[in-house]
Amino acid sequence: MSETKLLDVRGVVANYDSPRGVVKAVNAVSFSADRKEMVGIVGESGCGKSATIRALLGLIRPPGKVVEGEVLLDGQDLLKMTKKEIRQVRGDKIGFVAQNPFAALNPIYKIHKQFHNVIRAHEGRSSSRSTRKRAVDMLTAVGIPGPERILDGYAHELSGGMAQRVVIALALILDPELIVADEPTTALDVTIQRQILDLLRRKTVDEGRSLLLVTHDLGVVAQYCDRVVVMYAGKVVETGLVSEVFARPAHPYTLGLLQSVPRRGLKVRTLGGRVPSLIDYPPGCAFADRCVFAIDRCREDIPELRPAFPSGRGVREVRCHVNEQEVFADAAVDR
Amino acid sequence: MGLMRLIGKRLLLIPISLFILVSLSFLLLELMPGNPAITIAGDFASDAEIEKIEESLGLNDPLGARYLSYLGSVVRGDLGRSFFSDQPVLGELRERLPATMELVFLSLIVAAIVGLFLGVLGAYYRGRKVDKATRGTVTLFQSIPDFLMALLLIFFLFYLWSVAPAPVGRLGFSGVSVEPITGFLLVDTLVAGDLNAFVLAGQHLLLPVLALGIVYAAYFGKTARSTMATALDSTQVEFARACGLSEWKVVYYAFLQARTPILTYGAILFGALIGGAAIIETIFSWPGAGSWALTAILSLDIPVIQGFILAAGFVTITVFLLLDVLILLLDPRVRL
Ligand SMILES: Nc1ncnc2c1ncn2[C@@H]1O[C@H](COP(=O)(O)OP(=O)(O)OP(=O)(O)O)[C@@H](O)[C@H]1O
Ligand code: SF4
Ligand SMILES: [Mg+2]
Repeated sequence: MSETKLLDVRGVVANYDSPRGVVKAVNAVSFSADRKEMVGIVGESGCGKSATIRALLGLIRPPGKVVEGEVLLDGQDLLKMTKKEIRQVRGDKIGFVAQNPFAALNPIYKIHKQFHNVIRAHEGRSSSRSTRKRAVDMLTAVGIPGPERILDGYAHELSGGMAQRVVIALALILDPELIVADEPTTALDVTIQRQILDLLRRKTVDEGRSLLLVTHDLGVVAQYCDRVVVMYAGKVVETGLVSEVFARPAHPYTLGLLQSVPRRGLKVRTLGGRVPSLIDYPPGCAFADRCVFAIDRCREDIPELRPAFPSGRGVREVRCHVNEQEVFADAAVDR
Repeated sequence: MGLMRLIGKRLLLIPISLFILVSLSFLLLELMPGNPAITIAGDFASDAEIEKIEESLGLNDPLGARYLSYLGSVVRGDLGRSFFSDQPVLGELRERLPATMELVFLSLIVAAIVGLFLGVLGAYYRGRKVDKATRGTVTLFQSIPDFLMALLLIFFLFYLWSVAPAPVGRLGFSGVSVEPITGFLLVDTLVAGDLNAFVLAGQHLLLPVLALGIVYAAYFGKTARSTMATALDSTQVEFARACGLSEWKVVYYAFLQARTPILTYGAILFGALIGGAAIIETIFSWPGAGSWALTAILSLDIPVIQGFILAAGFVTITVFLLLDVLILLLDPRVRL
């Protein structure tokens, strides 16, 4: 396939200044996404998933700041772009799908006007008729019946599922190569969730795009994603093919996440404790206080990302001092 | 349909509000200390003289009877005569209320423009130097009393630089007279096609409008900063940015969210300023309702005070009705 990945995030660091100190929300995060690939980003609340997404869209606002790293989209570094250039990338090359469609859509403008504004922001003057035609086509493509009527209505008149389809249509109207979805189904009914995810999968795989899917739901990752990025306290702690990671978790945190949902072949264990403060990053592993595998070294040495299960399929990386075989062996005792 | 019904409901509330207003204005003065008869007659009047005046004012009738007769005359449009000038209160209100409203209206426009500018700028650059500068400006505006602002403006713009005319009324000593139609000089002069008078009226409005406008800009600035800061933090704004909209458009999206509380604040200020402009009116010899009421309060001129309360209350109720309708018209979510 292509030599360069569509998206290559390398060592991105983003901090927020807060009265209590510098919040290291994104701490040297690296991952990549290829065309036709769905990449899941998982982790507990507050571990920097949204901040990572914002960083790559150029949406970190003061008091936050991206201080290091590269976000290569098609080989172009988004972080080096001027404000104007990155604005052109947003919407045009990267489509963003927000968590709550009713919070994302403009409540005052008719739906058509919102499509019109997005198209005009990128293509300059466009007639209302031409933007309308494109919006109708796009709404049809995301499975909205009677698109004409929807365009003349307002967001609050829609159901949750329909509203999220409208958001997806807005994100896709300029045919972006990458779709970024930050918990796109958390605000929706379970039955609708599946429809929206199916839609996102079609739009990604069938049309050769790439999707970053932030979620809390490991089931969603297992079912939809090709690869997974597990984040903890602002860092990536494990990456790999979903099939590999779920079958043989290499990081104690991943294992903990998997075990907190009852699964065949794994002990059920609740993940105790909380995500540590991102202000004073501990001198060792940030997971040490909650980790059942922790050894002395864990509290002194910050572990680096290293290859794991080299015999498995795909690139597999883990950030842990303890050998992955040991972690997995303990996990699977009940089998 | 739905909109009309909502407006209808609001309209129905008006007579009720007015009734409460009339009763309050009556009661308020009942509770006021001091005897107007003594005030009128002077400190050296004899008891008999005072009693005579009390009699003629009907001050000795029982409370209920006075309330009913007051209510009756208000309904007939008779607001009584001033104890001192003997002028009909209604006629005087007709002249003075528009003078105040013109002043207040223009001041609020200036306040809104200056305040929104400062507030939006501060919200956009929150926590940064621009924010500190605009916040400092707002605090400065707020801490200067309006009379001091007026005196400063008079000193610099009239006395030192002669940019503005002398602070004496709506047209100064020009001898120009304008046929009153709306009572708003800027409107009436235009209707009459008298451009000279229009300019003259504008010049005389300059200083008092600036004085009030700058002081009240602080209030708009504070509201605008906090509501815009919230709006700029919203998912809606983030989504607009993520779609690649320009920063101007994004700020406008935020403003669409923030405008309702700002408008509401404007309406509240309008009501407050009808009486609150009294000191500025006094400084600029402005023949307005505020200074007129202030004098009446100091001399216990009850019919004038009551008339003013009724007028100010009526204007406030109307402004809030208009505000409600405006908010309904601006927000598609309320229409169903
Ligand atoms: N504007 C801000 N100011 C200060 N700190 C912030 C700001 N935004 C985010 N943070 C901090 O950055 C860290 C990461 O937040 P982020 O929103 O990325 O978490 P998340 O993984 O998306 O969590 P969730 O699952 O709850 O959405 C958190 O500790 C948060 O407190
Ligand atoms: S480095 Fe140590 S504390 Fe951190 S996850 Fe691995 S074993 Fe646990
Ligand atoms: Mg998040």
